[in-house]
Amino acid sequence: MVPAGVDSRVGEILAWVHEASNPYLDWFWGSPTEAVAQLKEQLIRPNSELSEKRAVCLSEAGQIIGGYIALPGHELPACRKADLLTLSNHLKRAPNEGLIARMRQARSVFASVGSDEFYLSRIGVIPSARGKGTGKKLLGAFLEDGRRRGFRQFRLDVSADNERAIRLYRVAGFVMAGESAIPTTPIRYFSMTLAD
Amino acid sequence: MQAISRDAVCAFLAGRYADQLRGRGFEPAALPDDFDFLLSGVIDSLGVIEMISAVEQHFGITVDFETLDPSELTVLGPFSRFVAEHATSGNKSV
Repeated sequence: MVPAGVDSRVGEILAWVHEASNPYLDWFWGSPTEAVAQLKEQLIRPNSELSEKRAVCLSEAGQIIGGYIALPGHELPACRKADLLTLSNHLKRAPNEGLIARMRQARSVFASVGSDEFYLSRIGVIPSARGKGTGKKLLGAFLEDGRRRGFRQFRLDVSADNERAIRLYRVAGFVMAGESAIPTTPIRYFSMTLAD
Repeated sequence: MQAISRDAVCAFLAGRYADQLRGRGFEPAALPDDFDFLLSGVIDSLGVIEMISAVEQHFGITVDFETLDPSELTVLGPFSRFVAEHATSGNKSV
């Protein structure tokens, strides 16, 4: 388990972060090409929710096979403001009515995260590494990361059609806390509180 | 272009969101400098984009927000001050 830190690895991180962000992200940006371009910008920006500095990656034979991006709930508002400012500046340079319309449709799609929760923003495994317990290992690392930082409450969002991931979260102890619909697929919120 | 004051921007925002503010128990005329429209739930993500556009349209200005500290994006005092200091004439709202 190594923190991803160098720009040359952004491409490898992008592969699993993009899939972990879908189907929402491609729908939101209007195309996979635009979604990837915007994700890459977020990964290289230190104040983004998806900054690669936050990415914890699992490597095998020198290749990143998956990872997760997590952050304390109290850090999330500042990151989302930074991402919003970037989005606003992007829209000023390139007005996009379609994007504004999709933002309107996606209003309130993501439930708020408590300041005392450790939030799993993204988790993903490349296709060739699936079915080998990689996701379970990454989820365990996320939980341990949170515990080490003193968190007892954990939060994550997942597409309702991602049955494999939902099974993994339920086995780990997460329970569904809510659901919100977007035109692509509903987003489910899961949470977990550690027992004393 | 006539100069825009920080207070004018504050007053515009307090007026624009008066109903939502009162609905959440805030008095529009007595908002503190550090009042955060986003964190207080008065506006959401799209509301931030709309707020910027509304300010530019109302005052007939364009503001380059590239140098704004993101943490101040939705905070009444700092945002208003930034707009007053960085406004240029013309409107290219989204």
